[in-house]
Amino acid sequence: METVDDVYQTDVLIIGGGGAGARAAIEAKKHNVDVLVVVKGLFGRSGCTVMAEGGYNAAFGFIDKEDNEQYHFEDTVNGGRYLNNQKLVEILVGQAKIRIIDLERFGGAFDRITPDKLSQRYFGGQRFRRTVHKGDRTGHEIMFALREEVTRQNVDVLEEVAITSLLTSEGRVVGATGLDLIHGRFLLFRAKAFIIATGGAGRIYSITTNPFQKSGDGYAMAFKVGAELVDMEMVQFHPTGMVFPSSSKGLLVTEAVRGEGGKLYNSLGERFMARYDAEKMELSTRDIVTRSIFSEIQEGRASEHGGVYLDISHLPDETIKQKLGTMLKQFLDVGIDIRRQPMEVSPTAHHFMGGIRVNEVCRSSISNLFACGEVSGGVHGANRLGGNSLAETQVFGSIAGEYAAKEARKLPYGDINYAVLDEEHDRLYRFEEGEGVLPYELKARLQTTMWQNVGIIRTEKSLKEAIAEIKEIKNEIYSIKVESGLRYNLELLAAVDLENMLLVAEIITRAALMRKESRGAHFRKDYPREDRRWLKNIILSKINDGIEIYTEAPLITKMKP
Amino acid sequence: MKITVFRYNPQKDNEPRYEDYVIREYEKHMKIIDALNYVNSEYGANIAFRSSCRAGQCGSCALRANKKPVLACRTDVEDGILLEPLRNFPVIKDLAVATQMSYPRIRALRPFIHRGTKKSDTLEPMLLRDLKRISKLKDCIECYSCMSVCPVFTNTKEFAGPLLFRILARFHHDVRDNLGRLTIAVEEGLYLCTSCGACLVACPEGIDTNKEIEKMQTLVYESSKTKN
Repeated sequence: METVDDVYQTDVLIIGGGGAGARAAIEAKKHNVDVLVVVKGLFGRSGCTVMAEGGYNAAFGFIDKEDNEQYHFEDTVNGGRYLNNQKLVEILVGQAKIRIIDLERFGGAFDRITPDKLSQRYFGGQRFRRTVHKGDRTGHEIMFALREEVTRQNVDVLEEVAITSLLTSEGRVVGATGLDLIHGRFLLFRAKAFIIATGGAGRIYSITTNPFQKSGDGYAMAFKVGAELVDMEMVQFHPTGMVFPSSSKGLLVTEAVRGEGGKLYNSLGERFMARYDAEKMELSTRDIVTRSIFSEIQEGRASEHGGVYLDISHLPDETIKQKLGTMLKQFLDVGIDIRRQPMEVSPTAHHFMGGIRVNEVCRSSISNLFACGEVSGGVHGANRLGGNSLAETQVFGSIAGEYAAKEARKLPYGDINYAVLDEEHDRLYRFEEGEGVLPYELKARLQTTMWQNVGIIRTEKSLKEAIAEIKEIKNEIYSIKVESGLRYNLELLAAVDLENMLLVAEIITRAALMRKESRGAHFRKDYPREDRRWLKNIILSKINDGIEIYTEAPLITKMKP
Repeated sequence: MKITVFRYNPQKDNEPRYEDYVIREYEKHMKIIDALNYVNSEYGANIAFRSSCRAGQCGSCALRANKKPVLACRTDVEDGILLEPLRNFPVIKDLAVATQMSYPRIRALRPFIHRGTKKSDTLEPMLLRDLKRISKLKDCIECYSCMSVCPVFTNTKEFAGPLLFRILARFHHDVRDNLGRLTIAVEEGLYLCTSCGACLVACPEGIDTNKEIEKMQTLVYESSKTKN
């Protein structure tokens, strides 16, 4: 106990302050409980929501009147190659509209075609214009609105605290430990119900759209206390990331570019999508566009810097400025004027369809542990449609907030096992005693092996190589050296992140090795076809110190494959 | 290429110092955060700095480069560049400052829409004209660059600072809001602004807070005239 610098107590502890965490906080607070949001970086500014560009799917049918929830459901399950939990999909499509109306009530304001009709754009894999937006800064607008509402509700927020572990007692979560970067403190949090909303793990790959904080902390901490994970092999590589300079490599080039009419060309000037999906062309689903671009590059038809060309210059300058202003700026920064020149793009690790396995009320396999947003798994199946993720944060953030609050009202605080707490303290401090490599070096090795071996194209051989490399890096953790002290110690944070990243990487690779077929985002060169026998979800959980892995049939309600 | 970095850990050091680092692998358009990451992983320098999105969208990484506030993720590094933390906030460590200091005062502005208790389940109509009035003001990424350069905020905390007036303007122009934002603006030092325009120059989003403050000043002046 004397190892702890401070103790925080609340009814509901929310880990993560992006779109899902903030929405959960707002909802929980309405149920008359104390809520504390703990964020690894700055609130609303260190997750993926604030970076989300293109939009939010809600089948209003403001432009294409035929659109409805049933079509949204079908497009989502079809895009997810039938691995989706269809109950969750029903909830997503059923509540996406009301949740975006909430956002306007909170203070948001989305683009309109007339005063009472929101603008909606085309996005990949969808039959109709369904994606609501605010230019190409939709996530920024959403986060702005959520933060205003969080302030109105007077929710407590603690910034720059990295949660390092969950503590359990008698089968439920009773606490969490945290590293306070600002004050350099080791903290204990006690709560009655917990919501994990930490987002994905893009940083386990060397090329990613994700911010620096996305090391998969939520998957790791939930897994370690026994929660089940699902569909972890399903990693979405966004088709269009920046290619050069190397510092910008991987940065997102929004799907809205293609939604607004952007065309893809190879070095021969061919609109190559015609060969891969002649019907949907550039607006095919992300998994297909990604593999198409990857094939063009592999087969020697790459652009100057090793990508393909994405051209939007045929649109009027004013339209580009208004609808794709962020892209215009992002490319001008590196000397490219997209009003005149094509962009160069190639795939980048973007989103984790899998995650903590939850039921319809966002409850994990541990009764008082909830999850929402990207860290949860099930709704997107094997491939996520662009625009469904922002909707997911709001729909399931709201549900998780409500049910965690209800759970908290039923429960007393649990007992903290102080021996375990001390162990966690020692884990954080043990790096100081070491001698040897910097955590960055091992991190870079992991990122490289994951990109090369567990990336867009996978084989049994590549996956086994990754497993071996992960094991080797794990053994080297003990030789990590970091500067002493807890205050804004980026070396220590990198070391803590690395442990989570290694665990998540191993889980992903193990699941990818098990799935001997290609489906959605998971492509096995040695099993290149979709196989009906693999119409199953892969579920992973902790057993002793290892990983238990098994399959279950997906939950189907309305739409049979 | 050489960069010079402000180093200070208030928990350990008596005073700040400056250290030079050599970048051996320079590439055109290398950004400041890449240089800092390079120095940290190459030399174990463990320089503390804030960053998240590296795409100019989150506003986490503002610092001063050659005395001017910039986003570290969007600014090219150059030979001899001097990197220092933003001004007017306590240093947590090296280049990270406690912008959190401003939160209580921001909360006191009541930065959320005030209106009747009407709860609507349908989309509220909004004129495109009204949307346009607030759109630019909501581009703010809260990087605190303006708070670092404002000479009035530097001199007196009676002036709340450009960021807070940007927040007031955002609500003042929102047709849905009915709280008297101008009264709050006066209490927060509206008239202390000297219209120097430094906040606009510093803003990576090109938001003209200076102009917004002037507009509010005019409105307050005119309403006081009618009262008299």
